[in-house]
Amino acid sequence: MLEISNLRKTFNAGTAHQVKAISGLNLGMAAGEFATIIGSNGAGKSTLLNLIAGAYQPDGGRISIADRDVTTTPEHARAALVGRVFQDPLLGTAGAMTVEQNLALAMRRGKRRGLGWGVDRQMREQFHARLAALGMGLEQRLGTRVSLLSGGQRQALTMLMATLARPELLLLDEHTAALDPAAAPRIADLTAQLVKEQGLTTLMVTHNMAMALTMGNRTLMMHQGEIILDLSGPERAHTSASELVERFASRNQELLSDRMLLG
Amino acid sequence: MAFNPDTYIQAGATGLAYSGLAQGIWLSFRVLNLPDLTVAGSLALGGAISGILITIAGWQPLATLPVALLVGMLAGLATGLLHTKLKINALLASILVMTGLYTITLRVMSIGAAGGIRSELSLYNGTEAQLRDMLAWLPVSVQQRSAIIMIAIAIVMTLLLYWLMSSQLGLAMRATGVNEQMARSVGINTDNMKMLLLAVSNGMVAVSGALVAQNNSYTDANVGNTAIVVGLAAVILGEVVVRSAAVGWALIGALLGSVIYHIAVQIALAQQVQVTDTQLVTALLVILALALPQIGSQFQRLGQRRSAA
Repeated sequence: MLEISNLRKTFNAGTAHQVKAISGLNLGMAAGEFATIIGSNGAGKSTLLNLIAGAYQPDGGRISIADRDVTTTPEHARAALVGRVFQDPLLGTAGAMTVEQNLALAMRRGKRRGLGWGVDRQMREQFHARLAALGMGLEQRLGTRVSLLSGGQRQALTMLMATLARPELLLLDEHTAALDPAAAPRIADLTAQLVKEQGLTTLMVTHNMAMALTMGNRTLMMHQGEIILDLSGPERAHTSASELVERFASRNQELLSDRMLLG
Repeated sequence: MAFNPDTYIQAGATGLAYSGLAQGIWLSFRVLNLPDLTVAGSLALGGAISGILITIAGWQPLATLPVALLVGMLAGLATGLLHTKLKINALLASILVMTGLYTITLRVMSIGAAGGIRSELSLYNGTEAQLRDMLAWLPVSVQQRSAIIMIAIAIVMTLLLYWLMSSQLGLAMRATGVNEQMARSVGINTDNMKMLLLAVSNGMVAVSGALVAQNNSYTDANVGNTAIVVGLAAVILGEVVVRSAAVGWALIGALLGSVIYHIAVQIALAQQVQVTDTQLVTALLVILALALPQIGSQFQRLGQRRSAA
């Protein structure tokens, strides 16, 4: 489903602020796989998601989604294959537009946009049903501007928008991190439910070690632009959050000392 | 000076002719959030094209409107290309195109001119030179005929624009203006949407320029000089009158704002204000319109404090 080979990205190349964000990263994901990604700040997690979504162009390497080489495909065209939810609930929706207009925009992801009505009655009924299933009362607020909703409601709406037209790949970038303690678990539950219902191939960045192990079926750890740990199956099942933190710390230490020796 | 209602009807007709300018400016300023000065050039060029087609080529006034629309759209597209493809700052790109359009407008106006270049053009060539002449059979005054024609055209243009902005493409253009990152992530080609919106906006403005020229039986290459301020004044007045951001209401607001503005200027002129003073009157009107919501909320707060005490 997702094939990434020898992916490289450096910011501010050739200047004093040169940052090697992704260095020769390889990753393969089977259809229906749900991988969580952990790693310290600056490990390259968000950069990786931005490269996959096409928001950044890589310096080298290849990315293919559903057997299509998308390495040079622009972001808007790649969106036909990719659904995204951002950390900031304000980023995933158009605040000045209504709930139903946002959903209508998302429904045409990957389709041509013409002069037909943007929102019609049939769509409204469909949105009503999908929103009612969230149990947040949003189905009563189809005509409300999104800027009037809470962060949790906006993020739930973004989740729905990312999956309304079934994406080949779902990218979640710490999408529960900016929410209040009550809303975060609801969005996590909603994520698990939507991914399961549609059998979505998913990549989720998180800082929450427990979430990284309980959600999905594979855990990746990133460090300095590479994947340094890849857990799945029984090995993953027998790893606790505290063990993961330990391995996280020790691997960082090891790599650090290796580098110091080699340097 | 005796009160003559037809003076105000004429002012209203002028306001309606300018409503396309207000709606075009609403599109770029409010929907796309881009300060687009191309409209100053599009307004003058629309007037020049329509004027030349009527006086030199002998076209029906109505038939010149689609040509003005097309030329205005090309002007907007030029600005859009400079901004999105060459990555030139939007304001600068629009100033560059506006500057270039001035020369084109002069060239167009000078077609068939006896002595080289001319910067003004009279559209009066006897009968059938104006849209209102289509209503010559109506037993009403000339001003009233103008107003009727302009109302009809403004309604048609507003409906077409409402349809476009409510369509799938319209939603995509609005999303581009509100949140570009979100727009791209739902698969919208934001560069294309910006170009399309600037094209539509300037097309509207060029049609407006053609209508203004026909309504005045005269056009001038410098007609666009105050276009931005007059158009913005109409948009802001409209927002004061129609307090809704919904697309349909916003378009009606821009239209009403344009009519109110031109009638207000007419009232000012009737109070012995000289034509040369209209710029200051415009500035004061815009400041008043901008200040009204502020003053309103101040009064409200004062009232709350009173009732609390």
